[in-house]
Amino acid sequence: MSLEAAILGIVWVGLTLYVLLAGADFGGGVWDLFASGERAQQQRALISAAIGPVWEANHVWLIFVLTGLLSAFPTVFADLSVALYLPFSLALIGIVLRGSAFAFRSHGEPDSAWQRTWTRVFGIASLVTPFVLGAAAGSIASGRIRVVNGEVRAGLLSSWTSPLSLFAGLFALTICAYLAATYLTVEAVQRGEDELERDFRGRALVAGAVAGVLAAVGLVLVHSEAPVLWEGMREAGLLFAATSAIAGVGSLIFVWSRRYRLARAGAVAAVASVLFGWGVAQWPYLIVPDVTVTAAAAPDATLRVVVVGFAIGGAVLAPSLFLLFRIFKTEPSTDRR
Amino acid sequence: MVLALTSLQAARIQMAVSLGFHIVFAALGVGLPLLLLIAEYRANRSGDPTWMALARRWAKALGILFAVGAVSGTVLSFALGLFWPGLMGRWGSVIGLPFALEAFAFFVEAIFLGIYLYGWERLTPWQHWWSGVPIAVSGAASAWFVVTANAWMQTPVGFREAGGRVVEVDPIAAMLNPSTPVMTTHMILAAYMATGLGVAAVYAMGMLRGRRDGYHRRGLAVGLALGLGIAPVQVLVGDWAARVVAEHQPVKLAALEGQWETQRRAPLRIGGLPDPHREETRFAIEVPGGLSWLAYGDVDAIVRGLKEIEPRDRPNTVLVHLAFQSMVAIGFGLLGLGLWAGVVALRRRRLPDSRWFLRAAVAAGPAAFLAIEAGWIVTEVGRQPWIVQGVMRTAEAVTSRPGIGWHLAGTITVYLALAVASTYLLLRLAKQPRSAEEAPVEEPA
Repeated sequence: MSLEAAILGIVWVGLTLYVLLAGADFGGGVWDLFASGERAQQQRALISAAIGPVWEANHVWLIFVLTGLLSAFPTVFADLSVALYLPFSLALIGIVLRGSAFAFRSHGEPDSAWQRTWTRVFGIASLVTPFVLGAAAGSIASGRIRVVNGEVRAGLLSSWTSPLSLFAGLFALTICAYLAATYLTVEAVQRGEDELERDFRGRALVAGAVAGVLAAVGLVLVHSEAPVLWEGMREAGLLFAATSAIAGVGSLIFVWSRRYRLARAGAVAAVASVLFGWGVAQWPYLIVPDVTVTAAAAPDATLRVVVVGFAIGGAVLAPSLFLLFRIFKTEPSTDRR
Repeated sequence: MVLALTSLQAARIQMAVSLGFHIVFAALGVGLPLLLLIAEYRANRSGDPTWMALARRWAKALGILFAVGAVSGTVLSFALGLFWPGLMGRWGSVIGLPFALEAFAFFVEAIFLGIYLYGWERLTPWQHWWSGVPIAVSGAASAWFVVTANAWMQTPVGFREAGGRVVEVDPIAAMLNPSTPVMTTHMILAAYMATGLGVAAVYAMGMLRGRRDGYHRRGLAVGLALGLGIAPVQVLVGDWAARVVAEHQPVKLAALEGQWETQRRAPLRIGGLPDPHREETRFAIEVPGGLSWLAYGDVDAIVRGLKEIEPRDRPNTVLVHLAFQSMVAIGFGLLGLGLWAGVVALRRRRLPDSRWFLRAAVAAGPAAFLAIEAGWIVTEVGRQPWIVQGVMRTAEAVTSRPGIGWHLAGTITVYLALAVASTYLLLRLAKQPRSAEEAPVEEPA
């Protein structure tokens, strides 16, 4: 495997982890926004407790993806920044407000105007951000961004508002909500919260079913709107699409039968398959249809040190992440005092 | 008003606002973990509830500050591409590496911050203390990596340009460029100084209002020890920084000193206002030969002046000179405050606590942050009109997208709201009665 393919593979794993981890945090924010019924406050408390210790670490996967692109595929970073100026700007506002609002609302008096305001901001920002990032991803895949002689040609608005882009935004949002609801069932069980378990089980079933329907619609849209991606799907992406479908259906069945850890694993497999299916289907393009991975790669001298940097960084990162999730996500919250 | 700016102006102001906002939170994110480690160490060692109360309070503040710092830092990662695609597209292969490495440092920071903030009840006291160590180390590492990239923009090395292409790329050499040692040292020390003095200011304020208990005295003492202890070192590092600028960026040196003529035995100017039309600096106290000596170690050394350069290739001399003078003045003011505290501490075995000293300590907090802002204005505006010194002009790097003014207006609005909200929360935190603090922290709801 070539050096640039290896680095892109690592960056793609980072992107997948961003969706699986930070995506679920955004999904948590969406359920926070739609918290309802007599247990709305308890639902929000569970969401806060679940994402509190981990959201900042999860967010860093985005920085990892950005800086990986910047160092190994600098022209792609620059081209996408020009082409997707508007959705990236909107996503930034969302990211800034989501994180700040989450930190702000955990201070201040309970049920004060302060808390209600920042809770609302947190929820809305969690809704908008995955949508615009998903729409941006859709426009990269759909061929709406052209790069001719090094010059980017993409409408400020039209590049990310095609039907496929808007669909991708909606799909991303649904995936985040689905992941979050599934993870939250596990959290509710760990804390012995039977009623919250029921609440999020229902939400997981609805979001999972919608995600499944959208995935099917998406295939039709890719066929009609993104011929290059469709070719790739038929050749290499099929296996991933099938895996995703099986894992997704499986995870819904497990949610239904209240086997939440298996459901969580199924959801993770389904979503990871979507991302890897997209990557494989799009190969060898980084920006369909003008920019290939090889053409966009930095010189070998750079790629070599980036790989070494990833290896050293990964050696520090892996045990740290293990510790984080081990402390907060494996056992029920039996506090050691 | 902001909508009438050109793309280049709007992008530059946008960058200044983003950096100027982020650096406050970033500096506190580097410095506060160190103070936390000191306080919690003493609490664990002696079982003193006052130190534990300080540690708990600062941990809550760090939770707010780190969140805003993390997201405003994300803005900057994107901003490099959104506003300066020409910089990143062309030079990303040379200078992308420190950004990629910084991502790992940021990861470690965020992971252990999560463990530290939420782990009080899940870890033993010493486990908890150790979980803070990686935050302090990776905070400093983050600062180091990011500042190397900026240092490269001042003294670009590690590549060759041939036929319009960038060749013979050496990212390690680029990262270890001539400005890296001094700029990274200067910034990391500044972060510790500003954090120490910012924290001390809170307790000095409390003592001025009559709360002269052990809690306030310890908070003041540890903050001042960190902030003022570094001040003399920082003055020396600042001198080193000026000599590196003199060697590699003579135009910037001329701008920050207000030096218009190329001359032997150039004077050091204290104060003064550069007049770009008359090409002279007026109202300054001049120390003959002082600049030649400071910059080159020889009172008869030649210092190049701004008149050698076409006006369009000069930075904004008024802004750079005033920012530089402010930074230096604050630096020496803090040095003086440190001497005051040091002399009293040696003679009476305790810190001065007169009202005048406490007032000075209150002023020192914001002043240290102002000095950081002024220092970055010197660094960034002093490099203009280049984005990469001598290699790429800022105008060549700016995005082709219109409507940056809207982005700027949005940024200012959002950041104003965040500044007000986080200041309100921190003040509220500082005023909270302490009894709540000694009880175990519950999971935030």
